[in-house]
Amino acid sequence: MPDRSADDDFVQRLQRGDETAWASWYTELAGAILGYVRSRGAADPDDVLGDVFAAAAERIASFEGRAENLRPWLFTIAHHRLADDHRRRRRRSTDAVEPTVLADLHPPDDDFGDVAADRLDAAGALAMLEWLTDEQREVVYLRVVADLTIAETAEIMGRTPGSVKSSQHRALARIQRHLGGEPYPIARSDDDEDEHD
Amino acid sequence: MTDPRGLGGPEDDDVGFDRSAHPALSGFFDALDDLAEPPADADVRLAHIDSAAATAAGNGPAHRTGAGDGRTWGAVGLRAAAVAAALAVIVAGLGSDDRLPAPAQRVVSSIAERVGVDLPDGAGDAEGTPEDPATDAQPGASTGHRPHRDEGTTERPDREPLEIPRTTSGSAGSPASPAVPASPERRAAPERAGGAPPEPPAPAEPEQRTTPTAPEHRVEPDTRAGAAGTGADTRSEKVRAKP
Repeated sequence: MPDRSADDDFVQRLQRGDETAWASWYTELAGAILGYVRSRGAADPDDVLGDVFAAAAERIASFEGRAENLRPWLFTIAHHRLADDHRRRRRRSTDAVEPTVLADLHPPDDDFGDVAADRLDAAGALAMLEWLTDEQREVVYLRVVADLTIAETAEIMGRTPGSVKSSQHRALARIQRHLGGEPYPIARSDDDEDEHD
Repeated sequence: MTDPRGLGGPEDDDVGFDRSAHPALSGFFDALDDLAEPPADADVRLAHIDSAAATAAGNGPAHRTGAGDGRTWGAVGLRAAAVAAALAVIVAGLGSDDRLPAPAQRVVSSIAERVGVDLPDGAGDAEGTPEDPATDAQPGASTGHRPHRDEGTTERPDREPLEIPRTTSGSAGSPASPAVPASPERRAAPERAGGAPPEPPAPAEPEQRTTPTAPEHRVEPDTRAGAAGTGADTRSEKVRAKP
């Protein structure tokens, strides 16, 4: 990831509508944002991606902060956009994971334990994320792929840092157990496991 | 400190995720990275985003972005284009001996450039001043693309902030952003709370065209091409008075 901390005028360039700056920023983050919305189960990830950057273009004038704050700011926009999408579609529930989703991706006899972790692909990662609660899924992605700090992740999700740490730990433990081939419980609501604000 | 199970130990709130602390999950992390593949139509989307960003910054014609505020930005773009077109006609009507003062010429050229209106040859030249690369009309300006494409540098010290009136539109349907002061460049831009559209061109008056009239007696803006020359000061005042 390019080091923006020394690029003091990068924010001003974005605010001026500098095409080069926008092209650079889009190239840097489009994939990460797209993966984020995919991991959150957006029905039309490409459409959400476009909406996120369009919203960023509209709001960049009101952005206050340094260049290194742009990444969490953009993911915040994506988070809210997905929340709108979920409210509208009511596609995903935190209380249960539909077994048909997993069956479509992996037949019952496909034991993750037989699959070496280093042979997983994007589809396999998505399938494993399905075993997590919504909050755990989001924490894992924001922390691992988006490379955000605990504090940034907590701010985006409206949670406490402690809650984020707890979700991360439980999520990774679940994935670990799954890769180890142990039986997996269906994901329960985060209220049973994590602390909330 | 790493957890022997590979799940990692306590983490600082302000540092990124340490993948090396979770060696057992390295394959899973790599698979997650595969989710972050850039979109196939990145070039197309980037063009839309560039347009939205330029419009939001007041630097180009409006395009519908699909984000819901297309009509607002479209209206601003149309008003700006109408102003620029009127200015272009005014400038085109000037004879070789009548040129706008340099500041007015810069405004006209800048507006026309940014909204994609081609000025007549020489219209962007100020009296007695060498050609300014920042105000020269660029190829492709009529297509609506911004003429200056930065190549490695983004500083434009010779370009003044464009004072095109913009309506301040909120992000309808989106979570509200906290109210924050505008950036310095945008504070300089005048805010217009729903101003009037530009004046329509005056009806044709052939008698007026053939009758010599002193500049100080002209009271109506003559936006027709080829109109008789008028006092440069009067025109510059009209140019400045226009939003």
